[in-house]
Amino acid sequence: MKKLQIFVLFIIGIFGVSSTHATLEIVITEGVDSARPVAVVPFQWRGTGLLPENVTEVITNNLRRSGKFNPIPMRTMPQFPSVDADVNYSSWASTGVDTILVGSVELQAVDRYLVKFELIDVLRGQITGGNAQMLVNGELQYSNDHVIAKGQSVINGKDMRQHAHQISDIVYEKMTGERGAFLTRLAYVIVRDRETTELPYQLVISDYDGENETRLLSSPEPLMSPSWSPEGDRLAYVSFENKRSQIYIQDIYTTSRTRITDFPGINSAPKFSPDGKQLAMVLSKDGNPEIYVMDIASRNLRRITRHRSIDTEPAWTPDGNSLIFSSERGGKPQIYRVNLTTGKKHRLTYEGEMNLGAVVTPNGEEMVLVNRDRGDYHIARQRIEDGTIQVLTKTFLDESPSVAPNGSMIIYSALHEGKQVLSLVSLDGRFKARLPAANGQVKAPSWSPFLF
Amino acid sequence: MKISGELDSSEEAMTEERKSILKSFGLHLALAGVLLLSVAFGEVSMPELSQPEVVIQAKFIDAQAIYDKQQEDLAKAQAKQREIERKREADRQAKRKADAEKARKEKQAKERSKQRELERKAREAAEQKRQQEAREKAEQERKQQEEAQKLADQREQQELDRLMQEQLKAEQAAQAQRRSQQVLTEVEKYRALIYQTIKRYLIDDGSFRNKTCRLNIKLASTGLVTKVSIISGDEALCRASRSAVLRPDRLPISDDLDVYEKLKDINLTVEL
Repeated sequence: MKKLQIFVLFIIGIFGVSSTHATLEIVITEGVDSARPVAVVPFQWRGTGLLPENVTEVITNNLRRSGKFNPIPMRTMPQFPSVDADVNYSSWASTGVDTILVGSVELQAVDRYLVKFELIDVLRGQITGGNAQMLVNGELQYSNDHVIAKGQSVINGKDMRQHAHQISDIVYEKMTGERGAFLTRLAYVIVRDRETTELPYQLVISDYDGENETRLLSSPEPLMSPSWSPEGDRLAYVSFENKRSQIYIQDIYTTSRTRITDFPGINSAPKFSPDGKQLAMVLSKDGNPEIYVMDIASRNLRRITRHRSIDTEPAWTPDGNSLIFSSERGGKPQIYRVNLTTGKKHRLTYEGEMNLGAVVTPNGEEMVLVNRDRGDYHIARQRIEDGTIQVLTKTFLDESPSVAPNGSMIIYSALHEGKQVLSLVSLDGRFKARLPAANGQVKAPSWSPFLF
Repeated sequence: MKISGELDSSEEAMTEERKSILKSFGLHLALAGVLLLSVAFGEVSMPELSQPEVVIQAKFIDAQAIYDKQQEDLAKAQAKQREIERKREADRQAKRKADAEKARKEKQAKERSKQRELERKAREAAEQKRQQEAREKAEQERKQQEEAQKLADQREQQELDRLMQEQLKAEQAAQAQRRSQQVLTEVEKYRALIYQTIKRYLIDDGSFRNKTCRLNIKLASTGLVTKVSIISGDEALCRASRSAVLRPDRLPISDDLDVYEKLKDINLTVEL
């Protein structure tokens, strides 16, 4: 279809050329698949003592982690301006970056900081010299259209990091056209040492980069499968605190919680529907693990699968009309899709020894899953209906992937030096990172929706 | 015609032949008379010729005997003479006959050759006449042809002139066509070069999928981008596209002004 479009446009292009008054038509349908070079110039510190948070570093790391940016190292920067007026556009242009971020942090009062930033298109600035003249309603006006974004805020020291994420989001959105996900959070389970910790199982929330860890719940018994509500205010999870699996929903702000299920056998893998009104889950109350959907308000259950083999790990498609799940009905676990209206199921994955733990990307076109091939478990992506599997990671025993709400990054847990840690990979597989190791095994990460 | 003519002439030849035979017969008779006369005349001279011998023999034979002998001898001689004469005459006759025959044959041959000559002449005349006629006809035809040729030539000349003019026009058109083709080819080449150059600086990591942007680019003759204006489209993609246009020092441009004219104003559509 796209090819046809290209062809048609090409033809139009040709006729465009042959017409007498010629505006040459050129249609570009592909670019270079690489990360954008960008410069995050160190924010100028106007104050005494230490900066409470290294804003520049936070922003640089954020942009790099997304896989879409390649922040250039400080040593290749021709100058360190803090405002647009000081920028020598040509010298920046010659470094190969199109866009630079400059800014400053100024101490105004005790723990009050004025943070300013400007995102500058140096190529545009090179042309306009920083002052574009434009005719607006017949009047010549000066515009600074080479400044893509600018802002200033007065914040507390403890909000400095959040603010750096906010600036990162603005840069990301201005340059990719997609919403940034640097202000989102993760929920996961930490298993600390039983010997030293009374309540080794902990449900925690952190910034997307693993910072600002906040404990929601501690338990002597296993906690599993946290899952965010679409509004980002509640978590559903499985707790064994009563020596058997039960599903709870907990408000993350009030910490009040509700037990949702207490069926005999397995109660696991809760997942909020996109509208937040239903919860998909796995129950074995009828003898065999099957997928159910519960209406949260009425607690009415609807059985979705009916098969003698194990069906588990449901995940919603963004339209809420179907679920994908892992099933052993074909012998080994593979991903299947079930249409919730018609009940029709069909298999989606065929590559590899097994595929499991699949989730759907926010645009609904792809899924991210755990692929086992030659005994190795890796995170992989596949177009839902018709794709080959693209393995993204090289880590060990990867499990429980979860995708950022803008679809740019995947968080998952992997075994590193005998410990389960959180790892990050951009959806294109270009950028990989391990989040700072917590004191314990980190499991079942779940990426929040957009929160602000 | 020819055959009957020949028959007539052969009849004619026959009567002619008979006449000549009679003639030769009469001639022979006359000759024989003359010969007899000459024999009689020779009788007188003959004894004189044989006188000496008679003189010698006279001693032994009497006159009668001599006379008889003489008579006998004479008769013998005469007979002999006659025999000779006759032989001669026969020879002569034969000769004459042969001559006559020869003459006749010659005549006949002559006659025939004359006839043939006549015929030949007639034929020649006919031939000549025919040739003449043919010549005349040919001449006429030639003339007609010449006339036609002349007309044709005239027409051809006109046609040629017209063709030449057309050819000239066609050549001019072809030249213009070649030129415009050349310009077009060059434009295509530079379009491809510009495409490649911009593409190299356009980053497509999937975030711009299904987004479009239209830009207008104005180029200086050096290839320097003098203006990039965003016509419509996704803001971020437009910015990225504008950067991709501005990133190279200059875009590939032809030194050919005609080509430049077609390249200086570009509408760029980016669809990733």
